[in-house]
Amino acid sequence: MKDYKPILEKFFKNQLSSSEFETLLINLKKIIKKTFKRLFDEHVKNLFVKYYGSDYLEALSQELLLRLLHQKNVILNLAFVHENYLSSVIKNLIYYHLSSGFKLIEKEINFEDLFLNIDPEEQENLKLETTLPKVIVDYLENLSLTHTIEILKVRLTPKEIETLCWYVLTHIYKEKIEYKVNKNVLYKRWERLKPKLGKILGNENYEKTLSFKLFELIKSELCKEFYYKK
Amino acid sequence: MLKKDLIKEEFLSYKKCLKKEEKILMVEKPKPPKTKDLRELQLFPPLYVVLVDKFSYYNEFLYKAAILTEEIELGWLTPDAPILKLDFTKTVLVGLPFWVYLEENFLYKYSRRLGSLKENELFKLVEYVEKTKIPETLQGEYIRLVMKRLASYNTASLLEYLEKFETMESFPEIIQLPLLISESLEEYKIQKAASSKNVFKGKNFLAIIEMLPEYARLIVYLPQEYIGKTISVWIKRQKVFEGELRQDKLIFEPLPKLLDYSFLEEELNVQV
Repeated sequence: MKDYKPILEKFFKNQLSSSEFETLLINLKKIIKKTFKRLFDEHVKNLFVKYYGSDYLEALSQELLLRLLHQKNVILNLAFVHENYLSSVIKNLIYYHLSSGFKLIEKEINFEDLFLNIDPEEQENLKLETTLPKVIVDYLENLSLTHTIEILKVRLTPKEIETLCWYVLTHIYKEKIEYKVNKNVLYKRWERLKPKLGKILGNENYEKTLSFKLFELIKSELCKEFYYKK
Repeated sequence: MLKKDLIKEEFLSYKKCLKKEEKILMVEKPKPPKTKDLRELQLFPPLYVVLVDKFSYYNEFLYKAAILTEEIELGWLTPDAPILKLDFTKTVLVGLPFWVYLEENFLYKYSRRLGSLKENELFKLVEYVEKTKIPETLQGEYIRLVMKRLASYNTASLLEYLEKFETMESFPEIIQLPLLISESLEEYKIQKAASSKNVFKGKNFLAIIEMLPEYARLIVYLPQEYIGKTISVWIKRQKVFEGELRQDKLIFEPLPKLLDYSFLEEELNVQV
């Protein structure tokens, strides 16, 4: 894995030749492209193309350098700068633009001015937001729910999965399904399973507050066997 | 349904970035902390704090802080998770559901001030942290990892106790206070909350008042070397506990709900 520390160190000291700077930008663009491909769909990429133009990779790589410049002191104290970290900063940049509706776009950054003063400007009276744009909420929810299903597959025993499916299919979806197991036994098992599920999901009130999407996923990912057996 | 478990991938990638021995750096231009500050801890990968409250014990100030992270996928637990956007650095942060207690001097030396929150914004963070539970998924594991990263800076390792993943904690010893004691504290109900203090330090303990819906309780943290020794705890010169200490934490309940518990600094006493 490539170590980005030496080249970033030269960049922070404003010692990169123009060809070295170009090489750095090319490498960063590759990482940005990979990050888009790994985490976001074509729709998100198209939004960047729409607001930044076809050279969105160039603009984002410059914004990435600006972010790294603000972290200069911490980065210079590292022995190794991993590509994963650069990818993580890019992700955050992408989330920033998506969540602020592409309000702040700088297609070209003049680094010469920034080398003199890298301290971020302090922002007073910041406001917290509790609602992200729907497209991001949907995306984050999908990531989280997909992961939750994987965790349920590992943490629940086959009997517990059977009980969960019985609950979801008969109580949420009102399906009439014949089970081999007695209804009272299933009720008891469900009562025992509830606190365990609450802990896994971090939500004791999940029956009332969980997104319907989770039930959909449970039905399609965990209950296929029970569903089609009916 | 997504094909891949991206949370897992992101968690593994985050872990790869962490250093075995984490170092916190001093800031170049330190600025004194204030409540409402947003500050960046000089760690790698970075973590951010919003100072929501300030307590004093002896000659020091302790700040109660909410943690924010750049790791959006890992830290975002619910659609009402608090989000903060920093336009200058084009950064977006998400709040995590736990508190840390950091000393003023630590914040001054090791955190960079990035700005401040509006006065009425703090309650959104407080509400989220108080009500949100940490799941037993990799998102929860990520949050616990952040707790671990911060544990050594968290005053008196309070994090270990204040963190919300109770499943990891052995059952604390809860001592029921006699009605007489509880009644004798009612006199403090008329006391005005000059400092509204609910964290305080004695000669050999650190204590916190925890407000529950019906009553309050007193959590006393004792030095680990007391474990196995016979200790006695006194409130208003009445013995409320005597016995062998099994763990470094004792909980006393119920206490009446008061505005200010600073009288306990004088009235709570632990003897070995």
